[in-house]
Amino acid sequence: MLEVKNVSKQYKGEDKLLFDAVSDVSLPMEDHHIYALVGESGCGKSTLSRLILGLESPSSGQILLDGKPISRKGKRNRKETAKAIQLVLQDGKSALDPHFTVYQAIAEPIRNLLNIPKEKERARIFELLDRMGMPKETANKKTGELSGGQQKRVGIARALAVSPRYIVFDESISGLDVILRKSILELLKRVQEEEQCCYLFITHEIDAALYLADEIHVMQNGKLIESRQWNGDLKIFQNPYTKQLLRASHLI
Amino acid sequence: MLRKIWRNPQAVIGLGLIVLICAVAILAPLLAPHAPDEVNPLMKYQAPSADYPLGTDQLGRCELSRLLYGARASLGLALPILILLGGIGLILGMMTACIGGWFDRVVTGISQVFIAFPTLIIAVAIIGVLGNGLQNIIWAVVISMWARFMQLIRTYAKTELGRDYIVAARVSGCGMWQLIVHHLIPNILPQFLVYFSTGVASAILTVSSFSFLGLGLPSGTAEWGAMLEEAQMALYSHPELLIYPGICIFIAAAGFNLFGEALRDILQPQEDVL
Amino acid sequence: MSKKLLQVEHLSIALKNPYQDLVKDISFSLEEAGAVILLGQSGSGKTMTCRAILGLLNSSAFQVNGEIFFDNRSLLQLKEKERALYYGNKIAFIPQNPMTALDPSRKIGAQMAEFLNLHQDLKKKEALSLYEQALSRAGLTDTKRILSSRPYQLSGGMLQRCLIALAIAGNAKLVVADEPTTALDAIHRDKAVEQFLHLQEQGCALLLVTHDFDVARHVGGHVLILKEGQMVEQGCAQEVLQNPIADYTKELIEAIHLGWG
Repeated sequence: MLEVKNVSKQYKGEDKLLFDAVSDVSLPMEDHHIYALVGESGCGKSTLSRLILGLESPSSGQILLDGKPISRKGKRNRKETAKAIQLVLQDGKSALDPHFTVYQAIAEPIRNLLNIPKEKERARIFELLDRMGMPKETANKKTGELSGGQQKRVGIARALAVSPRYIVFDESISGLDVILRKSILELLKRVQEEEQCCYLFITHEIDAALYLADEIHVMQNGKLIESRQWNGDLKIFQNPYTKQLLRASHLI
Repeated sequence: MLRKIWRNPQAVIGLGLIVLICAVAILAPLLAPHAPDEVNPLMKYQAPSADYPLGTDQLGRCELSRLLYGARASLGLALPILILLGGIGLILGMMTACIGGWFDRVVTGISQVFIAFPTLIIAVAIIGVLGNGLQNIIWAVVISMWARFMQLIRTYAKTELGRDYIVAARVSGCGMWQLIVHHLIPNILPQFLVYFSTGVASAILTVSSFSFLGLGLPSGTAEWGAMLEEAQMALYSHPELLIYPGICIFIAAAGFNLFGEALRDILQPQEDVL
Repeated sequence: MSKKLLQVEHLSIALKNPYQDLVKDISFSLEEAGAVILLGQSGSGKTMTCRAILGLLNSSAFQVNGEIFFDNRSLLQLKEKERALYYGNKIAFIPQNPMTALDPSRKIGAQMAEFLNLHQDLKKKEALSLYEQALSRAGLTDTKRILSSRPYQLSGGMLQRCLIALAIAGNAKLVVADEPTTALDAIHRDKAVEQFLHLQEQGCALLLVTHDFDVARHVGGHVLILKEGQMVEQGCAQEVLQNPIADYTKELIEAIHLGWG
């Protein structure tokens, strides 16, 4: 289980005053489930994703992986965390080094985190390309030459490459064309069923969250204001802010 | 990128001059009609002739030969200087950007002290301490210029480190050295080459300034700056002895500068037409 | 029958080198205080069409055929000096990312006043006061604070409203907005659209480029569905989005609704 336990993060603002980006957030995540974190930009969800991935340390509280706090110290600790928890970023293009080929991009996490022979690595990479619906020839293309949708898929392939137990999606479908958005969401759903990993899907688009997730958490100003098991009935959302979000997306 | 270089006239001219100077430096012994330090008091201030294509200087040495060997002196000093500067700049710049913390603060603080002084002053001071000699010139120039190179690389590295693909690489398990070698250096290299090229031009001018001031090189060495210094006495009688080395310094520095600046234009991200 | 403010006739745009057709034979017209929405995905040509109307296409890189008439003047044939009479004056532009359109080092009030002065001959104080009035008409109350803020201190949505206020102050007759809601969250999207509708009430015509169907529905007016540079369907916004005829439009509307379970 990956557990966010009473986590807070403070930053110094421009006026040198401390402000709470994340305030006392607790979010237990069990394997095999899909969790959605919904909120507007600036609510602290991106900060929370950085904390979960171990890129930054919380000001207070802990992130626990199987009961043990994740540690940023030491190469081995960082690698263990990276093998278990992966990330898919919002901007598919900027998440890839333009000098790398698709093959190198997907190989990077495999080479850094897994110790497998070259033939197995090769097989894994082509298997991932196939699952992403990308032809074999794309492997030799430079990432900068791909279309936006393809870059997004390479990003997902990278996250899947080490078979992580948890994947954090940080606004991964923002700004996508309508048709591409639907196909990527369908892909993500399919992949989760196949891999049985746990997703933390962070987004400001509540309709996508409702499509994908089993459990919805709503964040506002650094705090979790509503958390519900999602059963398909919109009436279970009571919080006025949540209702405002639903109305803005024309769902109620 | 090579194609873009061919299409840019400034880059081609600059590259041409660079190749010319390098060729002269390498082939000087084959091209020069005489030894550069062959003194012949009876032949001083000779006009150009078949034997001495550009005439002779105040000590009867062949002017052309001295100019050709001068290319060796200039490049022979400028290139090692830049290689050292590049190496120190890359390593320290990358390390301060990646490690951060106290290491960054200490090294940057020290570099700011060096940047506060004009490079020539530092270099002259170092020569004063170390004494004359080729190696000492190299150290003097490197010590005077390292701080600027380091800060440049550090800035570029910090900019790249803020980018999403670095976050993605870290999440993919990249350690600091992997980030530096696989991601930072390839992405910074083009801009780095620009500064390397213009840096060679600066080094050539600095080295010439040194010998003009009588610092560093043993007197009588065939070096353009030294030749300028010696030709001062003959300003009115034989001005060409000042003009020749002056033109050589100009061509050499211009070649590297033109190429470096053209490279910067080439690398400028193209305005998105679409 | 209102006068046609903007008339686009058989507009075609192609990239010269390497040759690529970007927009093929697009025609539409916009009435005074009317609204036209160019709706399409990326690569549909909507942004290119918008740039052609704004005179932003470099003739050395682009081949533009067809005609664009504004107030009976051909925009494509405008001479350099005449551009100032239309652009920034009668025709205002709200870019997708307002932050990048403004000078980060100067206060909003000063920048906007200077901009107004390019087209109207006013003293600095008059221009500032004119702009402040426009800010209130745009529904903003904290005008003094906004005038003395720098762009980075305001949110994207707020900056957009500042630009809309500029259009009001400049008495624009046509506002062209490129993806005005894409950078905004769902809650702010509706508010942004309200702003544009408010502009329309003041007599300004709207040309909106977007990929968001909800925005198109909310704004109303005439909608053109674009696909790969060509117009696939056009008509009254409510009609097209309720009862689409073209397969592509149906495909898009289908893709928006995710459903669950």
